[in-house]
Amino acid sequence: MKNDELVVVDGVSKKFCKDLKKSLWYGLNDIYKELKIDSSENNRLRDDEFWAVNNISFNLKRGECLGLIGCNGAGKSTLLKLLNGLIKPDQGRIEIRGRVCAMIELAAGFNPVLTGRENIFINGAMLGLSKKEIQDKFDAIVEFSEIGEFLDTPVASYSSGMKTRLGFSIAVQMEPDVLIVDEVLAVGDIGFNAKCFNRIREIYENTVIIFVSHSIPQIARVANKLCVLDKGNIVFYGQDIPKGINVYTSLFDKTKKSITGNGKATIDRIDVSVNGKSSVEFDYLDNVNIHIEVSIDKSKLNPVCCILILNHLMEVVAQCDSSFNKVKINNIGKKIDINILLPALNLNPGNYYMSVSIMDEARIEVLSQHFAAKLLSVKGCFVGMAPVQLNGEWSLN
Amino acid sequence: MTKLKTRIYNSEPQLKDVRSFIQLMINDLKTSYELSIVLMVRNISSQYRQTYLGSLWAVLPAIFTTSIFVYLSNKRVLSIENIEGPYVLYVISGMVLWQVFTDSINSPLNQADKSITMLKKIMFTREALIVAGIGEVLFNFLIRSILLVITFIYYDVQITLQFIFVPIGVMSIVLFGTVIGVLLLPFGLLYRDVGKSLTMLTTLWFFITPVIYSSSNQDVFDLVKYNPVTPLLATTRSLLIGSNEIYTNQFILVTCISILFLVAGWVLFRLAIPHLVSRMGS
Repeated sequence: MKNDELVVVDGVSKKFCKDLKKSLWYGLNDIYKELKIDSSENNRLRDDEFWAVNNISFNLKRGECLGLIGCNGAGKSTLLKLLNGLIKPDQGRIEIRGRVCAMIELAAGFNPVLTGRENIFINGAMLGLSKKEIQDKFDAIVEFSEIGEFLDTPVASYSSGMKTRLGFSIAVQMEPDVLIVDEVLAVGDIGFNAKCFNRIREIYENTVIIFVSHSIPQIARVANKLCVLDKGNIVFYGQDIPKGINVYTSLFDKTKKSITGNGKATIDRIDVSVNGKSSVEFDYLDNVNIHIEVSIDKSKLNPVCCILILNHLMEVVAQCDSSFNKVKINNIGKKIDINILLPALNLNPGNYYMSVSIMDEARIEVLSQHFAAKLLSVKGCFVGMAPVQLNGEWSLN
Repeated sequence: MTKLKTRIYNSEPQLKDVRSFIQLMINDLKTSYELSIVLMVRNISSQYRQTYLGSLWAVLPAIFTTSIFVYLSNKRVLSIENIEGPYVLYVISGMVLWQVFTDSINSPLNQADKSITMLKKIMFTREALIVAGIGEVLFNFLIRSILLVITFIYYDVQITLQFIFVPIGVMSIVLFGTVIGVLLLPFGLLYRDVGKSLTMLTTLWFFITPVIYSSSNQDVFDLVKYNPVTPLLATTRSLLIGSNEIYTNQFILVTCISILFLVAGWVLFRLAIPHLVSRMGS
């Protein structure tokens, strides 16, 4: 039972149109072509069309969990809709076996003026549960959703998190063979999120899971196969999760660099080196050297230099600050060479950005900031949930 | 191990494999039964929950329109001839049936329109929407029948044996309206022009249908005679109040044609839905 392929996707493509009027007209044409039983020219793009999903293939067996990642507009949601049969592929073939449960938007079937109780029955029926099944699972649903006293309140007065919780609780009772999850877990609070993941863990072994997430820790935690999409195409597919995550984060490389500040300082050079060799690639726990050349306006006597490390989402994950390290930069208006050693840098493997900023003593004026000046790439095969991997000294009794 | 249900989605036209297409149609209709009821109960119980007057809204339009026409006819603005029995009874039963017809025409598009988010995000048996819509139309008719019953008691209408054919009449009206609605649905979901012109045309249609006047009038114009709603509505009303506008042959003809077109509309609906969903954005 474990090794059968439940999902077979073969060369699937879907095109969309950028122009609304044309899109509607093409829609009408497509329906007419269905009536004519004509499948010619499906592979040709009409005016203003583009491939939203282009030639995607993969197979999944029970116990496999495919993480789908990609930038906004990469075609992830479209692919999920194709898998769920909501829309029809323009090319290729999808075969899905077993009970499919798609959590694409959990609150979509709720009627706002009806109560939570009524909506449980409606939503369950829409997902294909029989009335008896829902009755049997009703208590479990209510308990899992934690909506408690709001059960007989109209859904309109629920918070968006509560709606998602209720939706998830219903969907998760389906005991699906194929579970499709589209980023829905982003809304719940931490406690509920953890519960959802535990529940997904429970059904993991006997289920094919396909899920979209922008959170790399989530992907790293759950997925055992990864598919990275970029503009409708697969740019990575395989079981080497760290490699896939690298491919994904490198999609963001191009544009982020920017230089700001009030011009009272100029950073002439930023250099990263490891073991005396200039390189932005290094291993976990390498000693990393940063060299900065900067000229600062004479009026700023004791400027502060700050280095920030950011993840691919541009969230600051680490910093190194001259004033925190009690280093006083004496400025007499001449060019200053700054050298910083970051010993045994314990960033988890992945791609990071480094920003450098020069501020005045009070840290109010930004004299110069090179945002995302360097892309650092930490090599290694382990991918954790956090940006930092503490190198612990363990002992067991 | 039980055999797992397999679904295949591909780019081929769905009608290329007619056998499995029909099989799926029948299957889906069977499985949609339970969902249809749930959706119908949902629609009915939610439709008046945000109102103060509640289900009175089902009968108010009929009362309102009837009052207008009775008033106009009393004031001799309208001259209505060839009507046996009280005019109020005639108009109110005509209005109730007419509303069944307009509700049926509008129901498929309205249901789909209300459920766009669901259609985009949840894979459920799509037929259930249409069936639930029909259920809602019939339910509203039942509420309106209370109005009919009151009027009947007031005017002391004798119930004849023909009365047992009334449900067939009502079903034919629902069928004809639904067929038009289902055939228009794909176009109406793409282009709002359809919904807008539908509202306009039903007003016009009202005046070429013998609701407030009699079809047995000698100088009734041709449009009324060739209007397919005429035999359905006039016959059903005659069964109700025992008047003499009965057109059995035309009634059967229109009903049979409706059944044929219902199947065609259903096929079109199934072919169109995935394409419609693709065009509705994310």
